Formats: sequence, structure tokens, C-alpha cells
Amino acid sequence: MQTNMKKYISRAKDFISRVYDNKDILWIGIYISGMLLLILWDSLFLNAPAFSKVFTAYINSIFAGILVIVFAAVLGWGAALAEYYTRKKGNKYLITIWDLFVNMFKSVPQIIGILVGYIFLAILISHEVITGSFFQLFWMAVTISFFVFIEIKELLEERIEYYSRSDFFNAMLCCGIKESRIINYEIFWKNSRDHIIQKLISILGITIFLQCSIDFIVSVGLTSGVSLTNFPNTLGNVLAKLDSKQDILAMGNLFSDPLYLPKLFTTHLQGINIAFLITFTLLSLYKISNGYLRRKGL
Amino acid sequence: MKEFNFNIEIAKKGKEIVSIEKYRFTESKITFLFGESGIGKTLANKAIFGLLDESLLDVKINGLNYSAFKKHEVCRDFRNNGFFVFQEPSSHLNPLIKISEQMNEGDIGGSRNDKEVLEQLWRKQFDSFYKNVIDIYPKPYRPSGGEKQRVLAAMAFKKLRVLKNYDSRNLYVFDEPTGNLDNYFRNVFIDNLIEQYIKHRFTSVFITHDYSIVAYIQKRYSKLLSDIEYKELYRAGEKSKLRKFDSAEFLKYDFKKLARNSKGSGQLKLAVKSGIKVFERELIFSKNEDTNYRASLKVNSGEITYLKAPSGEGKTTILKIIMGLVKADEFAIRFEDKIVDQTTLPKFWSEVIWGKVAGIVFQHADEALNLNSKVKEVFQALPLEEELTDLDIISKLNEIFDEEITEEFINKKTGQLSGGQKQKINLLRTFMLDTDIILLDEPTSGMDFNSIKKFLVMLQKKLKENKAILLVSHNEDIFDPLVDEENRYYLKTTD
Repeated sequence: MQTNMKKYISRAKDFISRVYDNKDILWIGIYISGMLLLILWDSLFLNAPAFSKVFTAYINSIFAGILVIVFAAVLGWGAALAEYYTRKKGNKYLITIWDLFVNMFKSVPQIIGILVGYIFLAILISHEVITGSFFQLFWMAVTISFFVFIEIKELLEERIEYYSRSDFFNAMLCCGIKESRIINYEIFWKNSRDHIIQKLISILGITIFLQCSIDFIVSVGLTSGVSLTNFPNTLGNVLAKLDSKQDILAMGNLFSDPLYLPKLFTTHLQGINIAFLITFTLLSLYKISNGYLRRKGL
Repeated sequence: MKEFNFNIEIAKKGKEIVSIEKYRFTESKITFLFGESGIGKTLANKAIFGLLDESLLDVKINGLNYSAFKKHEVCRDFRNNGFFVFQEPSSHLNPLIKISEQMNEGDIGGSRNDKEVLEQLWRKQFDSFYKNVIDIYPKPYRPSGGEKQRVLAAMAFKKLRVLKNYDSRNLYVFDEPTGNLDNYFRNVFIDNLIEQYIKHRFTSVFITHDYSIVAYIQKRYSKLLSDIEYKELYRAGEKSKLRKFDSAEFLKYDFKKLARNSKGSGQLKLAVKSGIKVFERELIFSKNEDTNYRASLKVNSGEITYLKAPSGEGKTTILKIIMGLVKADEFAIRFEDKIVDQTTLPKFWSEVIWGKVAGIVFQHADEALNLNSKVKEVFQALPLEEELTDLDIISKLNEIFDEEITEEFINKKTGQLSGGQKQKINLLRTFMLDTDIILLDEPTSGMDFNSIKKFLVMLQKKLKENKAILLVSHNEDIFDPLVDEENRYYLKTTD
């Protein structure tokens, strides 16, 4: 009995030390636990309509973020291959046109590009060309991915460049193995998977941050035609709404009345929830990304 | 004479990486340590020298944990009075300090005889190379691998000169000190080492893959044979063991029998015109070592053509030009009936040559293989007519491997294999393509003698199949006997 106990304790110690050493896994655990705790707290203290609004916004933001990383991965992969083969072909005109196209996306600040994209989206939504939350989120994700896919493209290009200088690339070519297989399977899949995953985690963080920023900018009213009511609920979008703003302002009240603190967690939950979800998600993604980087020795 | 005797166990994160029982060498002797690369020669010697990092590796020597062993008298003597010449010269030299200054750091600064030591290793007047090779920063001036290796050897020889009390417990480890040197400078190094040894009678371990050193020692230092030991590390299951290397077997091995048995049809398969202009120099082929009479390099079916040159002369570059991997400014090559030159488009090689007419085995298996691929994936990627099954791959690997190949082995990542195992896979990959022309760049590098013999049998089979082979190797003692004089070429640079 005692020996079994010792075994369990030693296994538990091993498990804890392994999790503690692998910061990405630790932070996934922290994130999941934090979210469960938040759900429990909100189910006790947050009213049902606000609860539904907050968690719909959260799900929408994460769903849009995941769609962005899928689109960015596809666009980045396509663009990296297009660039490699265009340069390999050596056609000056083709290279110039390609450079112009890529630099166009690179030169526009992400936030401006997405903002312009959102204006078009808002017009399409208000004219009921795009209807339903799913398609609205889908096109929001497409818009954002056009301004973040460059990160994936540049990573994949670096990987191709690094390996194409090595004997392994040349040795496989000399064996008659197709270049497309070497690039896609041997370089990307076998040797860059971890780099790509780490980059995608970062892009998820960037996307959530950009969404929140854009929703804030839109909330102050860029044009009469673009308003938050056109878009599905997201974290930034809900945060910019009046109820949430008042909850956030209540936090400022703490400076003059510190005893107000306990009330914050029971009566001003909507705004604090959203603020917490944004910062906690961004912090966790940052920690997971860094931990993954370290664990994989990238 | 007293023997050093160590049982060495090295593990990383609980996984055993080297385990050597009875690693022995004798005091006051030079021990040449052979064995395939990656078997643990370097790690074992670094371990006994106290050079391993305890925070990364779990090391036990003779039952002692590593921190206790490092405090042990034997290890302290090795470290304080010996010298370790590392295998990779680049990692030994600090790029931010001039080589001339590094040659006088620490206790080797006590010996101010750089000129004499260096002249002996360069076999040239000091002034002719000092400014360009020694009085420079390793970066960006980048001395060649051979030059860096001679600098390290010079440091070791200086250390020998500053020692006042010579003791047999002073251990000098030379880890592949001649790996980047051609045979001439390799022999110069050995001559220097033995000259010092005769004077001081220190203990030395000379790690190498170059089995042909045995022939040189036998020929030149036959009177010293009682002071020289040949040992070989070999794989015995999961452990490495040390055995006496039978130098007589190497010396008696009839390399010529391969040549006798393998006369092919002699049909011209590949010709390269002398006078290739690349990297602002001109490379020429000559059939004579001492003169610059130009000759076209010809490779016939069923024959081996042997291209020789000192290190850094451009042998690998020539192979890469033939395979279309390096674009020369001016060249002319004939593959059977197809003629190519600097105007030929790169797609010619991908559409016509690669894997169809010619294949190449690159020198460094470590770099030529995708280390994240499984062994079987290396072969399954090949564009063969029929897809290879696991059994096909196992049976092919059994032709060159000593140990029985298992399902588990072919599912290992190539990065987990030893250097010698990687090299065999590197070779087999190209051999399985069945191209008419095969280019081999240092094909035996990292292999032990048993594997070399198996490789030679495979080579013989290829010659019988009428394949044309172009070989680059500094292992002249092995390849000279099996290549006809008329098929030996010397690569030279003209100004």
C-alpha cells in the first residue's frame, strides 16, 4: 500500500515537473483552468443575457482567429511557392509584377488595411450581400488574413532558402526527386512543422489583438455607413459597447474608493469579463508561443 | 607498462548515448583509435579529459559520478598537463582574436617558437604564409579547414615544448587531426608527432577514420611498432566495445582483386573538358601529378576514374558542376551523346540527368540526408519504377550493414544514427537509383574497415553492371590499387 502510494507520489511529481518545464503545456493548462473558473463565476454572478453576449463574442473571436490562421497558412504557403518558382524562372517582368503585388500588401499597415477591408464588408453586410454570422465572420477572417499571411510567407521562404543551400536539398534533387516534394514534404512538413505551428499561434494572438483594435476604431465611428451593429459580436466589439465601457470606468473608481473592489467582481462583470478575456487570451497565447519555441528548441 | 582503463557511461535525459566497457590505452604509447563515426570515440575521450558538461549529460566513469571523476588525480593530470586537439577546428578558434595571438594564449605562450613549429607543419618558409594565414582573424579571413587544423596541431606541439617534466600521464588527444588534410600534409603531421613522441614519450590517443595511416606507419616507422597500438571501437548490441585493430589484415587486404575482377566495356559515358573557369580561377585535369599537361577527364562504363587533388583545390566543385549544381563561367561536359556547357539551361539536369543518367553521393552524410526523415522514407522517396516495401529496404540495407537490420531500425530517424550508418544510407540511396554514371565524393568517410570492405564489394557489383564511376577520395591507399594508372587524374588550379 505504502509502496503504491510512493509510486503515485513520484509519478505525480514527475508529471508536475514535466508540465512545469514545458511552459507551453503549463500555460494551456492555466488557460483552460482560468476559462473554467471564469465560466463558473459568471454562471453565479453574471446575468444570462450578458453571459450569452460575452461568450458568443469570445467564441466568435476565437473562431474568426482560427479561420484567419487557416487562410493565412494557405495564402502564405501559396505565396511562398509562387515567389520561389517565379524567381527560379528568372523572368524579369514576372518578378517585377510579383514584387509589386507582395510589396503592396507589405507596405500597407495591417491595421489600415483591415480597416479598409471592414468598410467594404460593412457595406456588403448592410446591403445584405453577406448575411448570417458564419459568413460575416468568414469574410472578416479573409480580410484579416490578407494582411497577416506575409508572416507565414516570409517564414516559409526563409526555410526554403536555408535548406536549398544545403547538400540535403541538392542530394535529393540529384536523386531525381521532384522539387515540389522536397519543398512541401521534406522542408515544410518534416523540417518546419514546429516553426509553422509556432508562427500560427503568434498569428492567432495578432489576429485577436487586431480585431479588438479595429472594433474600437470602428466604434468611434469612421463613417455613417460603418457601425458595430453591422458586424457579429466579437470581444473588441462588445468591449466598445456602452455597458462594457461603464464597467471599465468603474475600475477607475477604485482610485478614489478602494473599498469598491469587491463590487467589481459581482456587479460590473460584463466589461471586466471582456477585458479579462482579451488580456488573458493574449497573455496565454504569448506564453504558449514562447514555451513552444523553447520546448522545440527553435 | 601501465594501462589506463575506463568504463564509460554517458546518458542524456536518461537515455544512454555511449557505453564503453574497458576503454583502454597504454601509457607512453601512441594509440590510433579507429571506428565508424558517431560510435563514441570523441565523447569517450572528452569524458576522460573532463570536458563534458554535467548539466547536459549524465556521465559515469569507473563507477564514479562525473564531478568526482573530474577531481580524480588521473583526470586532473590529463587536463593540466595534456592537450586536446578538437575535431572541428572552427569551434576551437576564437573568430575575434588573431590566430597569431591565440597561438600564444595560456601556458602555450611560454613557448615562443611559433616560427619553427609552423614551418615544420607547412613545409614552407615562415614569411611565405605567416601574413595570409597566421597573422589574421579566423573571420572574415577564413583560413581553409586544412590550415586551421595545422594551426591547432601547432598549438599542441607548442604545449609539448613548454612542458618541463615529461610524464607518461600527460595525455595528448588528437581528434581527427588530419581529417581536412591531404595525404602529404597528413604525413607531415604524423612525422612531427612521432618526432615529438620520440623525444618526450608522452601518451597519445589519435582518433581517426583514416585506416590508410596504418600503411604509412608500417612503411615509415617499422622500428617503432612496439610503441604504437591500433584499436577499434565497434558496436556490440547497444554498447560499444574496444578491440585491437588487426593492422595486418588491413595491410594484407587485396584491394587490387577488385580491379582484376571488374574490367568493364570501357565505353565512354562522361567526359569533362579541361579548363573549367569557375570562381575566378581555372581548373584543369592532368594525368601527371607533377606537370600541367591538360587532359580531358574521361569516365568509362565498368571502370572507376579517380580524381585526386589536395584539400580545397575544387574536387567537390567539379562534381557539383557536372551535376549542374554549381554554374561555372566556362565548361564543356559530355554525358554519353549529350553535350552541355555554360549556355545549357538548368532544367536539362532536372529533366535528363538527375536520377536518370547520373547520381551523386555527397561527402557529408550528415548534410546530405534529411535528418528528420525515417530511414525507410529516404528510399521510399526515390523515383523508382516499383515502390519499395519495408522488406526490400531491409534486404538492401543488410548488404552493407554489419548488424541485422530490423523493422525498428528502418523506422528510426536518420538523425538518430551514427555517422557511419548515415554514410551507408547515403551511399545506398544513390546506388539504388541504378544510373549509368555514379559520382562518389569521399564515399568511405566515417566508415569502419568492415563497412569499407562491404562498400568495395558493392562497388565491384556496380562495375560488373557496367556502371561508370567517378571517384574523389583522399584514401589513396585504398583506391590507388583498384584504379588503373590511366584512369587517375589530378585536379589543378592555374592562375
